[in-house]
Amino acid sequence: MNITQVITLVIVAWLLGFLRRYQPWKSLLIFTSMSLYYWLQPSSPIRYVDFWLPTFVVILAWLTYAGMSSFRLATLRKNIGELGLVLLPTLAASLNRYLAICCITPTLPPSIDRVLIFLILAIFIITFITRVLPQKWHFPFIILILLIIFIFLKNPYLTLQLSKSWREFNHQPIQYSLPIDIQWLGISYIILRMAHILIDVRAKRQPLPDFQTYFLYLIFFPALIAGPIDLFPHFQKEVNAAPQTPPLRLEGFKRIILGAFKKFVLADSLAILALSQQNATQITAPLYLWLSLIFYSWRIYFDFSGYTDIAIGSALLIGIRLPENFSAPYFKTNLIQFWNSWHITLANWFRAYFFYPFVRKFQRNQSLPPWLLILIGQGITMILIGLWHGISLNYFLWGLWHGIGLFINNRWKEWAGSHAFPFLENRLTQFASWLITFTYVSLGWVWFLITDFGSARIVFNHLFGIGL
Amino acid sequence: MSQNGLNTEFSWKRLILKTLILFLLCNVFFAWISPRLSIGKITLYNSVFEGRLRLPYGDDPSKSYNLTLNNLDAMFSSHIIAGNQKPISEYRVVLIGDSATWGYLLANDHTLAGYLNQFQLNTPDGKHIVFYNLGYPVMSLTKDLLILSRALAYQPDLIIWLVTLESFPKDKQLYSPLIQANLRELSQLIQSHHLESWVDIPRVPPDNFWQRTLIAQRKPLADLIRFQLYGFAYSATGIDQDIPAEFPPRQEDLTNDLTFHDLKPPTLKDSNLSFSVLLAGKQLAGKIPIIFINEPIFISHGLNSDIRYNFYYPRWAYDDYRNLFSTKCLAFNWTCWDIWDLIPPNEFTNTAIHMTPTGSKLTAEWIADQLSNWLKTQP
Repeated sequence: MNITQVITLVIVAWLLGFLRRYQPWKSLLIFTSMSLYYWLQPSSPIRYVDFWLPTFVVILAWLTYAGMSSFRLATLRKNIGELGLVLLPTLAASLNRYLAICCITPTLPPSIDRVLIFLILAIFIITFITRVLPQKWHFPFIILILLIIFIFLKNPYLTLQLSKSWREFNHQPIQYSLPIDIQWLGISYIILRMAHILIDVRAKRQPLPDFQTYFLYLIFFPALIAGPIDLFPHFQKEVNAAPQTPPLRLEGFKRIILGAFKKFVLADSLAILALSQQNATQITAPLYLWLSLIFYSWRIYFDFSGYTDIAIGSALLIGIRLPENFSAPYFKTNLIQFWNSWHITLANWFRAYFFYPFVRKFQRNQSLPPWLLILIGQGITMILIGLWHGISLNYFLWGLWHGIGLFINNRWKEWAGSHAFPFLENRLTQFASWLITFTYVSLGWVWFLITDFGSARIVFNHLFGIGL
Repeated sequence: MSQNGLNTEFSWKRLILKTLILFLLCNVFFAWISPRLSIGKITLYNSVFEGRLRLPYGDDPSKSYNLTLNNLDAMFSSHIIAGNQKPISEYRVVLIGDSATWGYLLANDHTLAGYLNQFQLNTPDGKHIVFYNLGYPVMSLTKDLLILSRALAYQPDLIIWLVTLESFPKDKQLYSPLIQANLRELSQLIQSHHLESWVDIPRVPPDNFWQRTLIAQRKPLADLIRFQLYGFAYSATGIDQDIPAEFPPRQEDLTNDLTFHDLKPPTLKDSNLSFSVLLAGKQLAGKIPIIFINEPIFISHGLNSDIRYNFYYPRWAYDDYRNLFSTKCLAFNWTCWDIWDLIPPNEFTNTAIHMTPTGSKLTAEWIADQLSNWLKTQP
């Protein structure tokens, strides 16, 4: 997001905050969020991709909603009006083909008849699935679809193949295909939100929501690009609550200013100094390499937490409180604390939907010793968190790095807890703990940043003065 | 309202008013201080970061860790020449010229100054000769003169000024953004040294209050800050230019166009070229010797090479220029070296003046030899 986009989002959020007391507010929020989705979606050289991708979100939302309601026609029929409402911005955006108003859609959308045919066909297919698929297959079927979409979008090779196929379908030259041609804005977050509600409704931890609130939860524009990943019950409560008195506007503006400062001043300045894919192998002196790695650590923090502050601040302007995503992670003295304060909502999601069920399952069976259970459980959880950022070796290694770190931390904590060491509380030990944690996290960023293993290995060697 | 009677409630009006007042005050203060303080001279180079070996110029800052600035203060304060006091044992030589001298598509070790320094030359009286690259990728003698005038502050013992015909035409003198941004300094230079003006310099009024505010100066200020930050990557990598592995080669087959700028054959006249800039340079330098070098050019053997030497030069124009150059040198008793055909054609890269590392080294070797002989003749 650039500064113009941020200012636009803030103004829109501020205006929506004023309109909150009026009845069609939720519909207005959906219309605005979806329109902003079309506006923010990066443009693509593949014809109509930047229109279809946000449109697919509506279809996916309807599919997952149908799945949650076990494809009961009565429920779907009850919510079809809400679907129509949700589709309004899509139809409005497609009119831009004839109006050609700047910026409503990144490129010219397809003709409205094509959009209508597609939507009718998609809804028909979903209804068809209702009839043919046995109920026990509904959940795995939808999860599989989400997984396939995720894998195709997060693996550069598969995204390239998708780009080629799409170009071929459009009769566009395939030799210019690039993975970057298909960038689906916010889909990683949207899929996690969908999965969260699907799992919770299936487990009866959560009643079936109305489609309008569900869809708003998926594409709520302040949290569309970089989270945080709110839990649905909390979001629903915030959306349905009466406007707060006094309004949260001042707090919101403060957060937005802080976020903008973090993102556009600190992160963007640090980007010039920070380790990058380009300079990683150009810098050979260990001191400079360590400095650039530290700059990268702070850059990624300011960048991400800056976006989060803007998201939380914009939501506050509307009158909705989103969960915190960061809590001074670089000042923590161990890795467990770090992961409780870095991308908190993502870590919580994977804890809730993978780690705890995994541990519970094996604890019940008592088939694994506790230490092995923690090693495997934390290892896989962190690898999954890594792969959520992208399905490639470097993210796998980044996840593994943290999985191993958390395991060591866990074992140390247990061992130290069984022995009373007074020195653990003194300042020097606390400082050493902080230093070790920050260094470990920073070294982990090498895996995160550098996509090819060979270059990452060179960086590690140079950091420790090997092979100079 | 609090108990002690002070209004502690938040007021949007007060916030906006305070912000506006603070913003206005900052702008007024900056507008007041900026003419008194040369911001470009505030630098992290030569202290926190290493001084640059050539003047800043960058096509793609994120890859070259370099930035094109038009602020001469900032350009010079980042250069290594501004970093240290000249030692008594140093014989300081500055190289002035265009992109060939600056070293376009060449790493710092492969520029003329880079090679000449590697040769570890000494003067007959035992001083160590240190060469400073003050070339800049713009073909204009007036730009060279502006740089020369600044270079004099760093006590050079000798100036080597590499020139080529493309820097001489009148229409090339003021065209570059660097000159346009420093027209006032150029005017002052001409007036204060009573130089014979070679081109009509438009009068630039002093910046008004608005032009001096933070808002008006935000882009140059942001550039200056970014330029300081790039010092880290430059110090860490030594890279100040993104040199692609492949680039389109210099044009071998030429058009049958005989014109040079707006000039047509048969002869190039003295009045068509800005030789008076060289004269001004001599005047400015005073007792500091200047050696003028007509730099090597690519001599094509392709299509229409019977009428043109290369993309830049029709043969008639370049031959006339060389005659004029030698006539001037003789008439004014300048030290001039003409090495226009020194370098084989395959040692040129993307243009008719940019050389490969080998071409650059051959030129440096030739200059080193000639310089050693020349120094022996100096008192």
